[in-house]
Amino acid sequence: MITALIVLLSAIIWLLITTRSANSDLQLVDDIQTNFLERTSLRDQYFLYHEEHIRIRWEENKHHSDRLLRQAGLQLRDKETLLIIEELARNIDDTSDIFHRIVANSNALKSAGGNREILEELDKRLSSQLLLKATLIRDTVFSLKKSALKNVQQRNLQLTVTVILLSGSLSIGFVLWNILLKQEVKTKTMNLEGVVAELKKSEAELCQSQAILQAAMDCSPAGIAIADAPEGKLRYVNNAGLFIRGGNRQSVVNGVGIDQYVGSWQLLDLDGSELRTDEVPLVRAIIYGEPSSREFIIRRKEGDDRVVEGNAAPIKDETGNVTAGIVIFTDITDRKMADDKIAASLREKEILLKEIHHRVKNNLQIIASLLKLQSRYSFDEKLNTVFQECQERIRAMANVHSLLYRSKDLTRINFGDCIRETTAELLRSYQKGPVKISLDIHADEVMLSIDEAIPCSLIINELVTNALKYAFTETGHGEIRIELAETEQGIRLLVKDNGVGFPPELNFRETKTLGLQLVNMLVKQLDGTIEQSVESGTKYAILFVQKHISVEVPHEGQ
Amino acid sequence: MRKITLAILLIAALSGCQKSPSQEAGQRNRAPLEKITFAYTVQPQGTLVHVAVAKGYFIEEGLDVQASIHTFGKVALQTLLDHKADFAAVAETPFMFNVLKGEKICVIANIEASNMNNAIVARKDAGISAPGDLKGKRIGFTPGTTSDFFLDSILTSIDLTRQAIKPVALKPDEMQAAIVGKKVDAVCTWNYPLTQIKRLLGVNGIMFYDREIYTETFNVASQQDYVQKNPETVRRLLRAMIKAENFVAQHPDEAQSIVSAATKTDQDIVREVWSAFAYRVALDKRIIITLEDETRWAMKNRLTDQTVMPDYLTYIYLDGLRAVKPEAVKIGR
Repeated sequence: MITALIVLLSAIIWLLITTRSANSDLQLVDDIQTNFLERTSLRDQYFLYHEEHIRIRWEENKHHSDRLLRQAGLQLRDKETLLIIEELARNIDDTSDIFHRIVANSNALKSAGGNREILEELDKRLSSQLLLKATLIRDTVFSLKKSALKNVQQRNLQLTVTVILLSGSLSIGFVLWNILLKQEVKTKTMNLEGVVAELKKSEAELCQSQAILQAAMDCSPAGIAIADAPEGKLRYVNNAGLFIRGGNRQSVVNGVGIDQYVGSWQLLDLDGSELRTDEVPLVRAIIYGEPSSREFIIRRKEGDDRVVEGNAAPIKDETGNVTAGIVIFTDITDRKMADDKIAASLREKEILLKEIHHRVKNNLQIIASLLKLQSRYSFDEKLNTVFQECQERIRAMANVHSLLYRSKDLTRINFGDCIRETTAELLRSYQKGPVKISLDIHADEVMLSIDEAIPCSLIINELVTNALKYAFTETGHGEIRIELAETEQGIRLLVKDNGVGFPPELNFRETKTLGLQLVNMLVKQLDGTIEQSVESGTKYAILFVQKHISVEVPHEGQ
Repeated sequence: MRKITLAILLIAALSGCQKSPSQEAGQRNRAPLEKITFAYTVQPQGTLVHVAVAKGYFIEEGLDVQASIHTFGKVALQTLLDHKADFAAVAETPFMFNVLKGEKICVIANIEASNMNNAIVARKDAGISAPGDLKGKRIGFTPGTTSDFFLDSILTSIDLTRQAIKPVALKPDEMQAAIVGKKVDAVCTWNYPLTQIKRLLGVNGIMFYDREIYTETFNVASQQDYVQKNPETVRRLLRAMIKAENFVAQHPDEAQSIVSAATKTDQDIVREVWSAFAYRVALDKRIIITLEDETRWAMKNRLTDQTVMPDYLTYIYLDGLRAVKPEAVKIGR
């Protein structure tokens, strides 16, 4: 729009200039026409009177004509018009020549003799040609005038049209601007209305959310209280809070401080010591601006104690300043009482289990002692060996129970301890020959359940007994190395001696001795594998995956 | 805004409905051509006719022009008078004589004007070296033509009369042989013979002219009843002539070539005399002034029986040119 206006304004300025120029051209052509008409009049006067002063005026007029045509040659720009001016000048010069001949002929006529008739005829011919040229000049001048006038009219028309266009453009622009402005105002109003509607909707939704929140808080079984920071004046307490506190909401909430709110109570820590004000979760949330959680006891006026779990959090503004604090406190008295009952029941069961393990161990030791006593009445070496082996096996099992009732959780034992106790007893029982046998035990802290500990203990018992009994037949130093480790593949148990080595003709998996049969059977029970190698002694490598240990606490009544 | 759009569409539709000049020409081309006979000459005055023929302007205007070509206008006009042509290109002098004879002819347009075309070319060896030397000499001229009128005019300008010379009536195509064969001492004639004779005589030739005593006009003439009955034919012919006028103004070199070929004249001669002629299709007072001037001369010299000046305005057909180029008509009723 601005560009169009600039273009139109430029066009108007240009048209004003060209119109002025066209008017000036018209004035000049008008002058040429006037000059021509005056000369025509002078010509006629001269033809009538043949007076010298008229001829002089005619000459002056011709000079003026020359000046006008020169000016036209400089002023007019149109190429075609300039050609017409040139032709006009030529024709006027021709008339001048003819006029001069007429003047000369007139003078000759004044003193004419016999040739008067010829001179008169010549005068007519020349005058006729002068008229003819004058006609041509007149037509040319009129054409020029018409052309100049048309040019002026065209410029005026162009100027008028351009001014109308400018006015029209301005009017249209104004109307369009008005329409656009109205449209913009309408759009903005609609947008504003939309925003207002949206705000109202949001406000309604917020009210609804607040109402929901209020209702949720009001009917929450947990007590909820909100206090402003930093004074700690209560802003809100829900029904559960009032129930714990007592009184009506108005009397509690309006301007009542937390200290007053809790003033009628005695707040105690769980150990029975008095709770300081700055240890109250809501107070801490307001003072320190951080969440706070604590279990404590409320001792009410009536004297009854309620165990409460309080969880408080600060409420902060957009700059991070604490503006209020909220606490949710739950009466956990009943839960606490139930927890205590469960704990007591567990303790009772632990004692009972320990007693069971202790009695099993004692019973197994009694059985072993009975077998030992019985063996004293037998003189059969083989039978006595059987009795001894049975004793060792029962001791191995008893060791497990012994370690179990001494353990913390009564379900698992550190199997390294079991290895050490079992092998020490075996060494004491079997080291009677010339060979000095030493035990080298490398055991990680591997915790095994009773289901794994007893087979493992029996396996250790059998393999170490075999080594003590058969590996070292000569004098010297024997060594039994036991390794226990928890690897990525599972629990690895290694029993190795530097004795004579397992007889190569025997397959340890198919031997008919009870000991190795027991070992194979127990490994299978563990879902494990056993490998034997004979190289500078005998080595057994047992690998099994430890089963998941679940400790089930028996519920009351089970 | 919608109204403005509709108005623009309406204007565009109306503009589309208007026939452009090229469309009109195209439509005329599709119509069968109208046969006319045009009697014209091999003179430079007939340049516009030659160009119109060569450039096909007559055909463009729906005219199938049958050319009747002659050596000079008087003969061409006679062809018209004999009803062997519909139009003739002729100078004002033969036209004037035939009007005085009572022929119902008319000029439909002036197509050429010149004050340099007529002259006397003389032999120096006949003792002629100045205009005054023409006294008593045999001078060839073509009676009833511009040559006839110009001869008297130039004699007057040198203080002579026809009685002071020995006039010899010759046709234009006889002039050259007459002067070369010394049957005459000088000839009063027009181009191209004028320049051709001058060139032929070489240094022995001398030319006398006076551009201030005579202005020749060449015109397209027709029978009055013909133009009344065939106004559209007249308009078509005039439109073709106007096209030729524009072509000559814009392409003078090509126009000279066309005339040279059409008149079988050396292009040098055509170019030499070119500036002596003004080729415009117009109707102005000059034709009337000249006709009346020559009528007075004819009456005075008893070249006609008529004693009353005709109203030459009635012998000018203005409507045709006024219809196709009104600004070219400078004669009022």
